[in-house]
Amino acid sequence: MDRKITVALAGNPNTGKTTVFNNLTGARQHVGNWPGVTVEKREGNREHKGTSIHVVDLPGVYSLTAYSLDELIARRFILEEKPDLVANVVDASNLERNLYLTTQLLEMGIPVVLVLNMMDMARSRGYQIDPEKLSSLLGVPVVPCVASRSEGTAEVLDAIVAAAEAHRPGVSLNYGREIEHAVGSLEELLRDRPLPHRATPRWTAIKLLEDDEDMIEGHEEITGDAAVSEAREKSLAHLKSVYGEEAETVIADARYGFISGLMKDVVRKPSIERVTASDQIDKIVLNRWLGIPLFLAVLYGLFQVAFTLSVPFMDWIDAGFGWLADQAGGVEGWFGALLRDGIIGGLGSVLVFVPVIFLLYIALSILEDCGYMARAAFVMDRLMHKIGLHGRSFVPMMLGFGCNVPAIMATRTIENPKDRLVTILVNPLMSCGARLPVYALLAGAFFTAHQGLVVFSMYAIGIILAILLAWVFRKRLVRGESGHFVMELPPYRMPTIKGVAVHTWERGRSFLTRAGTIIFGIVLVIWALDYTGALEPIGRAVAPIFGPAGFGQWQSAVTLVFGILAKEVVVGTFGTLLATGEAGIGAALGSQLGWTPLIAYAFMVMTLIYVPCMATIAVTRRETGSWKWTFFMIGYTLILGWLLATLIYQIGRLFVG
Amino acid sequence: MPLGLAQPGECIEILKIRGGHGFRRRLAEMGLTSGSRVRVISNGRPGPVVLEIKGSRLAIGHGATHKIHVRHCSGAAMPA
Repeated sequence: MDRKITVALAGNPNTGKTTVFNNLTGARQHVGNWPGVTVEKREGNREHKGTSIHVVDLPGVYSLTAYSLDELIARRFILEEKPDLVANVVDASNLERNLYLTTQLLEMGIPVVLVLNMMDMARSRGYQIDPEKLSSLLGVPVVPCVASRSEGTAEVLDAIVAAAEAHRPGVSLNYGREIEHAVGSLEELLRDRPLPHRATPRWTAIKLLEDDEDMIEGHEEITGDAAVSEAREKSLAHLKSVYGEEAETVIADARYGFISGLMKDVVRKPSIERVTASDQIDKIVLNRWLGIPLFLAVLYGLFQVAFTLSVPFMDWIDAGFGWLADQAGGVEGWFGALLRDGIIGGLGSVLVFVPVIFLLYIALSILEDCGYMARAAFVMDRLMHKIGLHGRSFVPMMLGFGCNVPAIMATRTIENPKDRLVTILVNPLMSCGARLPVYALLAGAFFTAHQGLVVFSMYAIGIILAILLAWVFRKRLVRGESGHFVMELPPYRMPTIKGVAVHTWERGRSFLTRAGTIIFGIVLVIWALDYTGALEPIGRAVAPIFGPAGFGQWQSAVTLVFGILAKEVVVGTFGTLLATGEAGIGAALGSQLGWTPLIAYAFMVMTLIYVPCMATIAVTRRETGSWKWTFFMIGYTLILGWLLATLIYQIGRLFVG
Repeated sequence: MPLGLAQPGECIEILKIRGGHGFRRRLAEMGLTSGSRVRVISNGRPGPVVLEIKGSRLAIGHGATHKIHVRHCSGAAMPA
């Protein structure tokens, strides 16, 4: 019979853990959520030498304290689900820091397989690593590999199967006499008491000394025990008097002490560290004067490239839908109208933007994979500090260019709750991929000569407003001390085609499924309402509000109302209401609705700012846990969008008549 | 001196880290504890500082640089 084992994949961020996971599981993956939280959970299966291996990818963490949600998830999985072993992916070129997590895994007493990834990088830096020696010193199997080139996958699988068979934990770290004494006496007390999560007494004792929040606050049965809490306090006071530091710091130092001992035995480094290419690039990228202009240039270049390259693809798709509409030309009656104006017109006008959205996602994925995204956060830190946030808030904002939903989830990495709330509140101002079709359509129709610039201006307005509002919110609404920015800058890496493809697909997939389901559904509903004449009254009721902004026609009002469901719908709705395909919308807006470039621009600004889409509203509610802040977000975006669109239209009219 | 005053290229030793529990723990897991020696890669002045620590590059935000007290490494060369 087949043996079944469960392997948890753990490791620091930027160690290529996801690539290892993909190599191990191949295409047989399942992406879901961890129970109760919106953190993505990846699982996959693999048969290897008669063993069926279930691999669970834990969130990337630096440590297993209970300090952030990711860490808590990783730790609880190991303790509660009891995987047969943990495959710990470490970056061989950055071994010392990576082994910190390894020491914590060893403490938990679970069998570990150390996956020494990025051996090529380590070699190119002149590091000589002795895996066998590392293995004997840690007491766990060590397997070198280069996941980005799929080297060593079979060896990793072999080691996993063998280690699950042997089921042997690695070495136990020695923290030095004083700490060991304290751990020992607590361990003795804990031995015959029921422990949480099936943890070992030693691990529990260490956590108690480390002042671990999850342990101290979450386990009344242990901390409420008079004997235990008394022993703990006595030990802590004693250690403080001996070392002059918190026990927590002493324990961290002991772990690094152990690691640096290992490093001396296992790794030979060149006597003079070369100045790495990464540092050379950073001299320019992080330069205090060049940093911000360079960042803006990168952003601008990104949009220009995405737009220029997508034009031929868009023409093909447009021609394809045009041909389809011609074929449907002969169909009579309401069904013909549904086919032409509803399905082909509505869906076609959304799908035509697939190339530009995918190109934008490719560009974002390249920026992320090559390591520039972390630098952007760094470059913006000084500016962000002025508005009461810090650089870390900038990464979720950049991700908002893709989609605000994952971007808002990404704010989890911001530890300070106030910083996090403000970052969530301004995130919808970062113009997402779904709003791009609206800009692309209107800029293409009304600003032929300056398309790229006009679209770029939308993104720029979004960023500027986000920064201004974050400052206002931080000053007036969510006051208080801001958290601190500490972030690893991963070395620059050449992005791999596979990696970029995977990331692009992860982002783009949702646009396609949305286009096929929600957006298609909404467009059909709109068509039906329009066909039966129910749409016009709705539009006429709302339209006067938008009069001062120039787009007070009932059709425009309808698109904005339905655009709240999903912003892509704005374009599709125009397609349906004006009974034309994407290519004809621009002309029809001019001839049927009397739009001028000024109105088009005001409308674009409105689309950028007003009420985030349903999915964003839902994720805001979930992540803030507050209806108050969710409604606040809806309210301020609506008012701000209207005000700005009106201002642009009214002031612009003075100049262009 | 506060970390914010360190010059690029210098070897510095961390003396004391002020600030909350979480902040110190975050730094510890990134490899920055008092007593550790690091190299300053760049300093925005005012702005974030990049340190080389145990082979990785760590960016420390403007606000945080005031909370970390350091001194120049005495005599001995940088640990490899």
